[in-house]
Amino acid sequence: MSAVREGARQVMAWLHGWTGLLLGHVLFLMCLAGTLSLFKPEIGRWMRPEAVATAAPVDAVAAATGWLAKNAKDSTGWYLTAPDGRANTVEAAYDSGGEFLYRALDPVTGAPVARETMGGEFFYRLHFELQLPFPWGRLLASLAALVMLVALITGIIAHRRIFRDFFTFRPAKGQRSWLDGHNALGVLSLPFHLMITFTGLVTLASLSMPWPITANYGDELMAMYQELTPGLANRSPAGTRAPLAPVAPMLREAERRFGGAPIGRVYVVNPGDAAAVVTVFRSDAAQIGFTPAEISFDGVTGKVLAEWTENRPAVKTYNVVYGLHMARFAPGVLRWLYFLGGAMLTLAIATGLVLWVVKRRERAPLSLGNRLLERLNAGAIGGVLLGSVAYLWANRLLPLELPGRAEVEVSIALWSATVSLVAGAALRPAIAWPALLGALALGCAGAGLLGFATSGVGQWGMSLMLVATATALSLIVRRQIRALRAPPAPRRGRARAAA
Amino acid sequence: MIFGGLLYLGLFALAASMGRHAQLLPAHWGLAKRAARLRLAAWLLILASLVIALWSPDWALRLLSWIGLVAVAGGIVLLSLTYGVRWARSAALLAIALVVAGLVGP
Amino acid sequence: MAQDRRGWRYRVNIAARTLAGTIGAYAVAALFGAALARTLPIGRLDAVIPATLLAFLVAPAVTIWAFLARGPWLAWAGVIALAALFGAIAWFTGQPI
Repeated sequence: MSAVREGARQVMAWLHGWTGLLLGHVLFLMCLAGTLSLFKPEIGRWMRPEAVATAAPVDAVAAATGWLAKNAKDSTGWYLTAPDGRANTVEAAYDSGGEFLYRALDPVTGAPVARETMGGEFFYRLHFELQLPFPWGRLLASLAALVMLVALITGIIAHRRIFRDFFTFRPAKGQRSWLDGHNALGVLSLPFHLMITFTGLVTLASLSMPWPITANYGDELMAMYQELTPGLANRSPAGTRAPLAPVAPMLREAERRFGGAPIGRVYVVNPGDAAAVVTVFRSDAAQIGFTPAEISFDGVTGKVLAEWTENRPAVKTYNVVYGLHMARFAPGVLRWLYFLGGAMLTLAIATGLVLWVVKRRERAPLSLGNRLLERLNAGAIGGVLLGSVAYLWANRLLPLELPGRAEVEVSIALWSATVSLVAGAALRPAIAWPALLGALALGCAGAGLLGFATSGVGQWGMSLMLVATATALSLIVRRQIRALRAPPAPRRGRARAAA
Repeated sequence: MIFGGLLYLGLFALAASMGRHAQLLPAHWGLAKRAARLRLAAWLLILASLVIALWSPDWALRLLSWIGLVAVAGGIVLLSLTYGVRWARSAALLAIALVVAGLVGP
Repeated sequence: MAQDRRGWRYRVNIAARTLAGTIGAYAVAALFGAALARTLPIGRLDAVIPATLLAFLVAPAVTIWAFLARGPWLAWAGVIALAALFGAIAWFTGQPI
């Protein structure tokens, strides 16, 4: 890249630093939650150890609609996801009594499972809604993704020797080591980072970049959605009640028309109304492209209203871009490679935030702003991680019959994160880091042990991961404590100033 | 399996061809003098692994895997350069075994 | 960019480029997307998709350019010129029916 002027490279490094810093802590949260979301069904299973029943996708969804028809009559729509071998429950999102609920429904009885929890859905929603009200969470997430794209591109241009430094890591050398680590995490997985950031941006495009749609459709957003998914029939409620026809025959008919491919999402809109519509989507897990085919049935008569298999090149491209981000298609090994890429991006953001401070500390005493940032780094990074683990603890320790249990779990996660943030900001960074990471190690180990104690062998994988994470963290914390006990090394910046 | 093994061998050789990472290969092999040729071989191996990955109806999934495996293979080489080159060397033998197994098997 | 990092000139320079690289870049990307969606000779839905995907590449490109341009005035001139060009194309093409 010698063609780039040295001055330009400095500008890029400056821009990389500031864009990375600007929303770095939000991006850390988004990347961590997104990475965990890759295992949303597995996290859900771990968090619902009592739900062990399994059923074929069609039977499970039919059971779910049976329960919802009795218990969520006033709803405007039930949005269901069929079990697929990874998840064993039906994931249901529906409004009831003015509240929007996420519940896992038992595949046999159709009722919510005993341990009421958001499961992996919490991390999934957190990833792009940031626990903020609509549309602010999604807008902030879009902004963060756009900033991230700029940070990635400027980072590539600013990095002088991408291939020469490809394998370079020099530990225990202060700023050098942080820079090496940050570079290695960013460069080794660079194509993944670019892909996941760009595709993530596209998933929220209708909110963050609606202008091409506005240009061609004006205010008629519904017309655009109708053209995008022609198999999704749209009807306003008729206002007269009519019982929902049995859903199972519709699901079987859909499966037959999908050529035997399994069903994925099932939307029941206006249930209990004369204008009810049941839309069945083909599973998103069998191919990269999202929403490959859908069929809508009249909810009262069971007759097919609309049917569509996606073959338009432009829409297929969009579905592939969308699907690449969702990673529902990814088979076992590839899913772990996605996980690795996501983890490396999360760590690249964390090391970048630390590097900002380390770099400035080695040159001169830190300014007030950077001293605050140093504390915010420990508090925010530690807080996000501890909140996630507290969520798992809450899942195991809260009584099953607690009203609003799922919401209490989330509150505990958020309060734990807040307390850690405050603690991280209040303590001296040299103490805050080992304290928070130590608590995290204990938290992971405890959650893992709770998992072993309370779930079947099938869910031991995640418990093992938690214990492994705790072990790795304890090694880091041990080093940090040793460094704390050792006499402070002379600061290079000061030594240079004295010379 | 084949492209994963070749990719690792390519990245391993690429690192070994760099002066500062020459300790990956035993010094008495005398490869330091032929670093340029080693580097060419490394890039050919990497290119071959990519071509093999793409040479399949499943090319999209395999391309994604290839990108992910660059991080895995590069990470192994990088970490073992810091914490002991024997890990990278053992992994190279394993990679050769993987390629052979892939060629012999179905 | 100016060498002196404390002077008001440096601050105004950075502020001007930041505005050009954020609001300006988004405006250029939005108008580019709108213009492309209206001019691509394919169906109106088909056209929206490449327009949206490419708009997300235009935005960071303009952001980076806003900081690389020789001066903040040039950065703003470029942003305004591009926005005017794409805006005019979108305006004169009109909404497809």
